[in-house]
Amino acid sequence: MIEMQPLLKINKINMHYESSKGEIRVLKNIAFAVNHGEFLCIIGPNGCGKTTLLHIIAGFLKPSSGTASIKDQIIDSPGPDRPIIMQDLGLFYWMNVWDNVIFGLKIKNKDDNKISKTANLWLNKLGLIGFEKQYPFELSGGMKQKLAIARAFVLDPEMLILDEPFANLDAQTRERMQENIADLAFSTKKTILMVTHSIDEAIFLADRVIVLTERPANIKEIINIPLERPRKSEFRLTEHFLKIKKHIYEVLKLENKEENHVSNKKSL
Amino acid sequence: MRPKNYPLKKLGRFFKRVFIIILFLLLWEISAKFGLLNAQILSSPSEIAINLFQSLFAGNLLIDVVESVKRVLVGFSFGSLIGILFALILGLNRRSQEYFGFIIEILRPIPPIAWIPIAILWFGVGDAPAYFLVGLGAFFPAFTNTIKAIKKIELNYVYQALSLGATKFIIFKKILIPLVLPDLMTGLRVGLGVGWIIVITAEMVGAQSGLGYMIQLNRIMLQTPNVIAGMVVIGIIGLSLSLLINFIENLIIPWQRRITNIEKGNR
Repeated sequence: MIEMQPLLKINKINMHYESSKGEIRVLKNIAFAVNHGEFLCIIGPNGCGKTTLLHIIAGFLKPSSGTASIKDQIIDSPGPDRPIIMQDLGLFYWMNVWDNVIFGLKIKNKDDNKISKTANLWLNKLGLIGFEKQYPFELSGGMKQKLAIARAFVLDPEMLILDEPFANLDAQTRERMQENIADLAFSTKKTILMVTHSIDEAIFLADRVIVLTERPANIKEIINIPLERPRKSEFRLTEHFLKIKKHIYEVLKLENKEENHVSNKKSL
Repeated sequence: MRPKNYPLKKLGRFFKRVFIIILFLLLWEISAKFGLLNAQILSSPSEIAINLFQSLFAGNLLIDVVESVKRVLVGFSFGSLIGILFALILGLNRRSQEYFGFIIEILRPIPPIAWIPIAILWFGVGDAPAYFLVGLGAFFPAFTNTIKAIKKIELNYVYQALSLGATKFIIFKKILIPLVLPDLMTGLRVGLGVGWIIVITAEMVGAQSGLGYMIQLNRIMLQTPNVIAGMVVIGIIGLSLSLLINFIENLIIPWQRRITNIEKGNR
């Protein structure tokens, strides 16, 4: 390893909102780091503040205290070095597939030849060739997913932020998309930070899984999955997989029951 | 899915409609010929058609058409443009909306036609009051529809664009404008329709030319066929203006049609 510094550093982030019912604490003392080329999944109870955390990292929100920094630069605005793929994908329905893909490229790059070369490369990689003139609402769920992924990957970013991107897919398409993103992450060596609801998805994809507590969210446990990526789909049926799944399941279940959020760190 | 003989069916429907219209005109013509209708009140279709073609070839009808269309287009362009501009300023700046939003809300319930007397007082007779009145009629639909569209823009799209590196200008050009266009076009369609009504009305009371003036003058001279011929022309131009907006809409909002196609297909 040449680069010892982590790519993304989350330094004691706290987040609270003022509301009519008083102050709502969303994030409590969140601290972790993401290394270059790492695939990190965040999992946690519904409404615990996962999306808020991602939006801070994307630069949409400023934390109440603490900092998020990428390459030692404090994040204070959104940027194409860490594009986000939102839960609803945020595809621009008024643009066709081609215009969606080159949206960010065109801002970054002025050379038309280069733009179409890069766009075609990624459309080809994701099997979207021939669909350039289609509009997002004319595509299937899986195709939309691929378009959102292509639109982020063409920017050649430092890292990608994924907010439950596969939540609306049927089980089979979802597994196929997981395998796609695993292959892409591996072949491009991109750093990926992904929030998910699915324990299976997290175990299948991630180098490490962060389990968050109920709101206000803090880190309950970080689980290493020391297995080479990309993993084969048979991995989902192995003893090892089920053992990790059982463990995360219990941590989450415990979390749902517990009223007083006691943090007990444990390593598998 | 459409049935295989769809074009044939469509053609059949078209002929049915033409047949009904011809039957209606025939009945009307016969009633007029046999004196069942008072020719001073309702002329026969043939008489109307003859008068229409006569005034068309004489050239005086064309002058009136050009006058009216010019008034509606100039007034409409100015009114809509100012409406869009105001909507952008007020829609994107909350403070300006607090200060000026209510003024527009106070003026909005006054029908543009109610402004005719004051417009004649201010601008005299001729083109100027017509521009003002048509502009007024086009302003409100353009303004309200644009501001409505700006307010319902989903912030997620803005966030997504920022995350892909967009600047404010790019967000304006590639997110805001396309998302505002469908509602804006609705506003323009209404505005142009209202404008056409206003121009005819205004010409009836405060102008020396135009189609509204023409039908009013012919009424006074008891030239009923000319009055009805003028009405026919007013209808045809109103329809053409509406078709023009449809054409522009399909040109600048190509995705709209494809969304409707999909919705139809799913039904």
